[in-house]
Amino acid sequence: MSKVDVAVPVTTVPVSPRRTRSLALPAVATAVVVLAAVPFYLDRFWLTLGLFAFAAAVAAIGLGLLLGQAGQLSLGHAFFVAVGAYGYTYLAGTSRTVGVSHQGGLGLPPLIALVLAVLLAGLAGLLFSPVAARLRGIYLGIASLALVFAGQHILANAPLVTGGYNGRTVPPLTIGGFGFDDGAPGTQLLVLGVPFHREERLWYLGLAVTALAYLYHRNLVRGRPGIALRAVRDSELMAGMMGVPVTRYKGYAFLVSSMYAGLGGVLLALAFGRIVPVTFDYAMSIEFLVMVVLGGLGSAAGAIVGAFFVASLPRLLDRYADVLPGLAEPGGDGVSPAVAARFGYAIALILLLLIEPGGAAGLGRRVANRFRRNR
Amino acid sequence: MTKRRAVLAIALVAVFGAAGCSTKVVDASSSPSAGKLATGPGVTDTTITLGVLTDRTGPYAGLGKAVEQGRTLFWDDRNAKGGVCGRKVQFVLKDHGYNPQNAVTAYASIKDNVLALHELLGSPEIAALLDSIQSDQMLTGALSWSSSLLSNPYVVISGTTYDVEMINAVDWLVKNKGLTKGDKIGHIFHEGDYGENGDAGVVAAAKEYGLELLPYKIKPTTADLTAQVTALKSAGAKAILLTVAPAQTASAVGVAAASGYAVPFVANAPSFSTALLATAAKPALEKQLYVATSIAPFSATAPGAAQVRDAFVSKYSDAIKIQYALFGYAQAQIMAGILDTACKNNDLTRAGLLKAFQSQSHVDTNGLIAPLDFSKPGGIPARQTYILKPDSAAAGGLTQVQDLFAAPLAQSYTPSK
Amino acid sequence: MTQFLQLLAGGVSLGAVYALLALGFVVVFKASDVVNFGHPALLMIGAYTIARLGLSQVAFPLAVLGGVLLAALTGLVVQRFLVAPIASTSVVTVSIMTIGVDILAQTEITRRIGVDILSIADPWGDRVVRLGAVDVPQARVAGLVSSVVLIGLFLAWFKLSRWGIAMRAVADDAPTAALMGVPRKVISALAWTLAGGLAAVAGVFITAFPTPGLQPATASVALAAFPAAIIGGLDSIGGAIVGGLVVGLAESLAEGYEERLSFLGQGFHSVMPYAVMVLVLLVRPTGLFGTRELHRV
Repeated sequence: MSKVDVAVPVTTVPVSPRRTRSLALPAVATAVVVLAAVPFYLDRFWLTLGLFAFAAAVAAIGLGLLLGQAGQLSLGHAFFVAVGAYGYTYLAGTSRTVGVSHQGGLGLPPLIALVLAVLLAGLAGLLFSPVAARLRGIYLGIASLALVFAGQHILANAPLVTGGYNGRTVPPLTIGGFGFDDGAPGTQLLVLGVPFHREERLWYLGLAVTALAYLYHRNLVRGRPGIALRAVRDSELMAGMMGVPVTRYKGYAFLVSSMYAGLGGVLLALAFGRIVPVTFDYAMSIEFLVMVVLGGLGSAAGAIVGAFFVASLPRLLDRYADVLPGLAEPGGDGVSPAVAARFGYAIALILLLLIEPGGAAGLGRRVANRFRRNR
Repeated sequence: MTKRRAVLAIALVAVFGAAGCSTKVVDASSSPSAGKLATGPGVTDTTITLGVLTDRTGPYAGLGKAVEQGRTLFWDDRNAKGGVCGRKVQFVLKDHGYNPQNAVTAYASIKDNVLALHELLGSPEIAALLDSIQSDQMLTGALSWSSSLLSNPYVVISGTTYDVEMINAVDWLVKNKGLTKGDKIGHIFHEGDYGENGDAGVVAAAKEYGLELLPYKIKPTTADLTAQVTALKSAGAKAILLTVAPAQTASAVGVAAASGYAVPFVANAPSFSTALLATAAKPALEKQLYVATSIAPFSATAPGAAQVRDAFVSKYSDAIKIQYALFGYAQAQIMAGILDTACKNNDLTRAGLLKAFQSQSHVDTNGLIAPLDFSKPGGIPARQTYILKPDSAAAGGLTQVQDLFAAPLAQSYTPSK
Repeated sequence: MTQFLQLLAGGVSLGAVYALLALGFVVVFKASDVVNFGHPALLMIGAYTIARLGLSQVAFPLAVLGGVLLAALTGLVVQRFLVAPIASTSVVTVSIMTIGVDILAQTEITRRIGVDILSIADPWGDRVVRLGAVDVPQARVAGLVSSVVLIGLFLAWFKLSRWGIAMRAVADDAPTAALMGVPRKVISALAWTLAGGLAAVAGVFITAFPTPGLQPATASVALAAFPAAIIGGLDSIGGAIVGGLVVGLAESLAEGYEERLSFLGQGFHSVMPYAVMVLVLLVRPTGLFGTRELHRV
């Protein structure tokens, strides 16, 4: 079909289907196999890390769609993630009072709550899109930042939904009779001899959802919506003249990306087990932006890699930083392992982008090109 | 295509087949612990490991470090004297950078290796872990004095809670600064658990004493409180209460002093820091500010406080003496008391720790903190506060104006909806 | 009425400082198309240097000079090693790299400050100027004056000097400017250096009375630059000033009249600058003074 072959700055996705198919899909498939084996070997620390990474990956794919494919800068992604997370928690939760905190809830079946929460996030995105249609570039970016601050304000002033600053418990997801939690007290689910607690079960949910999110994105990007979005990104005027309903596609981009964000939000809530309002702040929005750029704009596989990098690296560095020599004693002056870990993360970020501004996807293309040249 | 599929199939079989050799596989038989002393995770024959989840890189890094100084002071000394139950107490420290997600991951990484959490810093982080703490039976020394945490029986609060501090503060103002029924008072407080807990106390006290309350909620990062103080001055507030961060206290009091608004300010303990006395706000603070806290000042004559003071000065001679170092020491003292009691009961398991914690009806820290009563689960552990005054001549920057006391409302107060 | 005037005075004087921050942000954006997420870091580096020099008994004017130079140097280094190599391929990437710079700088400065609150040792202290019924801190008056002078100088330089015209050329149409011999990298370097210096000066007034001094949380004040720059319009230097003033006033009034605004929720003042920004954008999508985009067909 397809070839809107645009003169390419490094950040765009090469549209030729054959080239992308030969590398990204088998790479992702291998990754899925490896990841499916993880709960049998790695402990809770790794699983928790992974759960957060999956949630971030799904949301990052959405932002990548918005920024990479549709060319719309959004700094408000954390808002839509919050809508998903709190939407699910409120819809699936029950009304109760814990201590001095009154919490509301509709008590819907968790799976329905999940779907509704994602739709709610999409609706929020759709409602924002008229504003987005009027604004361009960084104006849109900073305007979307307003959503994050408004969101924090709303969360702070709606204790019935959020349970106040001490947060509220996230109802576990159940599909059919199967619960993604520790199971009834006294029972144990053994798979191939390994006990499957909450984190192990959620791992497969995260993996499946991320894989599906990736496939859906791939489909979208290759199909007509993807072409239309890229046309709008590259030149709104030309796209309009060629018959692309620009405003409608901008709205569509926000709708889909917010739904991704909402889904990521539900996964995040499930991973946390208990959500607090301050999580969904300016820093989170910035993190998503970093994930998408690190991964390479426009690439879903890249967004997943970027998400894993940003969600995991700081924690990994912190875990192993004690082995570095010359660090401060507890309570003493000097650079503590935690500070060293944070430096490491920032330096890694800068160096990676200096070496390959196209992010992980750019690196992947370089490797693929070299591979092809050597044949 | 077929070749690829075959490779995939073999890989799958290999990976899952090998799962049987994984270390996570549960043994059908697990050996029961031998000996008289029951032990839980993190306890060996020679050591007891406790967890510390703190902020070392985020906005409260300095605070986290000060608490660590206090903790290290106590435990170095205690371990030299033999530790607890003949075992040295050691710590696994993780930095969450004031990010709840990091806190959850860090908790997951240490929870199977520690007997209890000696310290958990940060209201959002504590909030995010409340459920896990309960389901893991993890006794946690929370670095927060918010009574809203008390619904979780595993949370150890080392002192009087913010709401009761504020009640005592209002009572003191009424008795000593001439506040009467119908007067207006202002309360500037943080959004978040800290500020709202203080607010609950002020609301209760205002109702009790018939005062009109003018509340102003601010963000933890608000730098300049001119607008709020201006508004309160226009409204004629006779006193102002503060549940904020130290820099914001200095801003508020400084603005008031500069515009000739000479009302008394009373602040919760975390609203003051000795560091403020090195800034231009010093004269204003010394003149108009009071601090309500249940922890004795560095300069106190009580043996507990003196002990900390001497140890601090000899080990960290350069470091600035702030209240959080005292908190760290006090918290360590309380945790040590719980561990000692558990040891005496021959039960160093998590359930044993909880029992030991709840059996303590009168914890005496040699005068370092107000007397604590942990025997009523869900109840506020201490009701008394000091009233202190900033004084740059005193060690630690605070001197006592009023000894430990508890207002009648403070004694009877229970947090309500 | 007094309260209103007092809040107005406070808002305007704070707004002037925000204007300096917004200006630094806008200058960088105009010259290199980069969103500088590291602007708070420049602020902190400048303010921290000035505070430390002041504590070492260096005279205030020299301390300020030291801080300005170091922050300006930081801006230059960032431009030279991060922006220049990559900017031609992707400005979005550079913008994200500035996040890394921000993390590095802020982590280190947070570590050094610890629990201290570093006084900036300014000569104005906590003295106030009485204008009728209104008290304005001397430090804020100085801030307002400095802001006006600096921005005025900058405007003049921008409009009249050769380098100023060159910068405008680059901002308007970079390829054409390059064709006409304007060295884009030099202009970009100049812009980043200026941004550092402006941030340091803003840092002085943000940490002077009525704030007790510099501490890690001070960095988040720099975020006010975003809505201020947008409200004014990112193309417009004059817009940065107006934007700063609008944000300062909006915050001050919203804080002071909080009980009247409580129907919008407690603590609305933190959202107020953004609410105002969105309102402005709905009417003028490129800010109050930003050039309206024309699409040539």
